[in-house]
Amino acid sequence: MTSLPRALCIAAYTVLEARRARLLWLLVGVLAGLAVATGFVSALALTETARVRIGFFASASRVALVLVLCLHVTFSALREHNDRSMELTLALALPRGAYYLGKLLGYCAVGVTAAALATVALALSTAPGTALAWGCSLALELILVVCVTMFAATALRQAASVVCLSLGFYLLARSIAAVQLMSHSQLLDPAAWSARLSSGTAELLALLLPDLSRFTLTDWLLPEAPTIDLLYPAMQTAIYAALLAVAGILELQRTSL
Amino acid sequence: MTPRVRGTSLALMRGLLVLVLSAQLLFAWLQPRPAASLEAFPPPPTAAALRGLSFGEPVALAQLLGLYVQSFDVQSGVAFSLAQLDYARVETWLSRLIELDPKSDYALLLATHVYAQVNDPLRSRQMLDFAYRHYREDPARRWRWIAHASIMARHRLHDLPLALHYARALALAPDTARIPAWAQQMQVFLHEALGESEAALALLGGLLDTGRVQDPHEIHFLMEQAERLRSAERSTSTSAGIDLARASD
Repeated sequence: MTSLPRALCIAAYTVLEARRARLLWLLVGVLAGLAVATGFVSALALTETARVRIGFFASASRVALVLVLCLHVTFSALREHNDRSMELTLALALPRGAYYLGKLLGYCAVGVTAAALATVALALSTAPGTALAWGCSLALELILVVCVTMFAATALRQAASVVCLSLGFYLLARSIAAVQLMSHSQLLDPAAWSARLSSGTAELLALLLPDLSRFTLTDWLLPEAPTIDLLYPAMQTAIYAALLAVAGILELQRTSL
Repeated sequence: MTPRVRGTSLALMRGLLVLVLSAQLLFAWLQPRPAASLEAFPPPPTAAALRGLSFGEPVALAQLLGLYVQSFDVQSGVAFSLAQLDYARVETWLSRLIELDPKSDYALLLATHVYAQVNDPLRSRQMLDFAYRHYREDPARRWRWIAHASIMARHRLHDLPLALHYARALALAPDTARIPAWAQQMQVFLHEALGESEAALALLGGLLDTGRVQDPHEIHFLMEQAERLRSAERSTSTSAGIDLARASD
C-alpha cells in the first residue's frame, strides 16, 4: 500500500470525525445566526439596504468561519495527540508524512465545505457567479488557516498557544499591506533607527506572510465591483500551503512521540 | 524506520522546506508593492457611537483612531497634498479624538504641526482656530499648542493681528494654568512688531508690576526691553517734532 491511499484514508476519517462532532450543524447554525444579524442590521439601514446586507454577511461569515475552523482543527489535532490515538495510528505501517498530509487534507475538505455553505447562503442575495468567485477565495483562505493551525498544533501542543498563534497570524496577514504602508509614513524620520527598524521588519514580514487583504474581498460582491483576481489567492495558497505542510511534516518527523 | 533512512528523510524534508520557502520569498518579492488609493475621507461616527465601540477603552480607541487619521493622507506612494483633504472632516475627526481622550495632546499636535502646515492659508487658519477653541477648554494642558499657533500665524501666515490674538489669550490665562512667562510675554513683542510700542510698554510695565516674573535675569531683560522701547519711542517723537518744526518753517 503506497502512502497516498493511506493519506486519503486518514483524510476520510478526519472528515468523519468532523461530521460526528456535528461541525456541519455548527457551521449551519453560525451562518443562520449571521443571517438573522444581517437582517437586523439591514433593517436599521436608511439606504443601500442590499449593499449593507451583502457587505455585513460576507465580512462577518468570513471571520466567523475562520474562527470556527481554527478552533476545530486545534482541538481535534490536540485531542489525537493527548489521548495517544496518534501514537496508535503511527504504530501501524504508516509514514508520519502520510499521516500529516491525510489530516491536513481532511481538515481542508472541512474548510472547503464551510466555504461552500457560506457561498450558497450568499448566492441567494447576489449574482451566483461573483458569489462563486468569492467562495473560491474563501475556501483558499480557510485552507491557509487550516495549514497554519495544523502546523501550530504539531509544533506547540498547547491549545491556548495554538489558537493565539493561528489567529495572530491571520490578523497580521490580513493587515500586513496596511502595516507596510504605515511603516513608510512621511511623518517618521527616515534616518531614525526606530523608523528603519519598523519599516525593515514590515518589509520582512511582507515577504514571509501571505497578503490576505487580497483574498475574499467584499467589494467583489457589490455593484460596480473591481475585477476579481483569483490568480494571486490560488498561487499564494499553493505555495504557502506547501511551505506549511513541509514544515509541519518536518516538525512531526523531528519530534519523538 | 532505520536511523539512516530517517536521517535521509529529514534531510530531504529540510531541502524541500528551503525550496518552498525560497519560492514564497520570490513570489512575495515579485508582487507589486501595496499602494494606497485616494478615497474620500469618511465622516467619523458620533462620539457616543465611538464610546460604545471602544468597549470601555476610549483612550485606546482614541490612540488607534489618531493613527488612522494620521495615516489616511500621509501614505507612501500617494502623491497628494493635505490640501486635497476635506478639512471639515479632519476637524470633526480631531474633535472626536479629543472627546474620547481629553488628556491627550495627539489631536492638537496633528492640527497645529501637521494639518496647519498645508499650503493654503484658509485651511491653515481653520486648524489654528480649532486649536484655539480647544485651548480655551483647558489652558493649563493645551497652552503650548496655542503658543505654536501664534508663532505660525506670525511667521508663516504673516498675520500679526491673529498672532497677537492668540498671544493675548495666553497672557489672559488664569494663574492656575501655570503658563510659562515666555509664552505670556509673547504679546509684548507682537505689539512691538505691530509698531504699537506704547501698548507693548504698558504690557511690560504691567507684567513687572504683577510680580509674576520672579527671576532676576528675566526682570533685568524685561526692563532692558522696556528701556529700549522707551528710547525708540522718544527718538520717534523727537524726529516727528523736527519734521513738524520743519513743516511749520
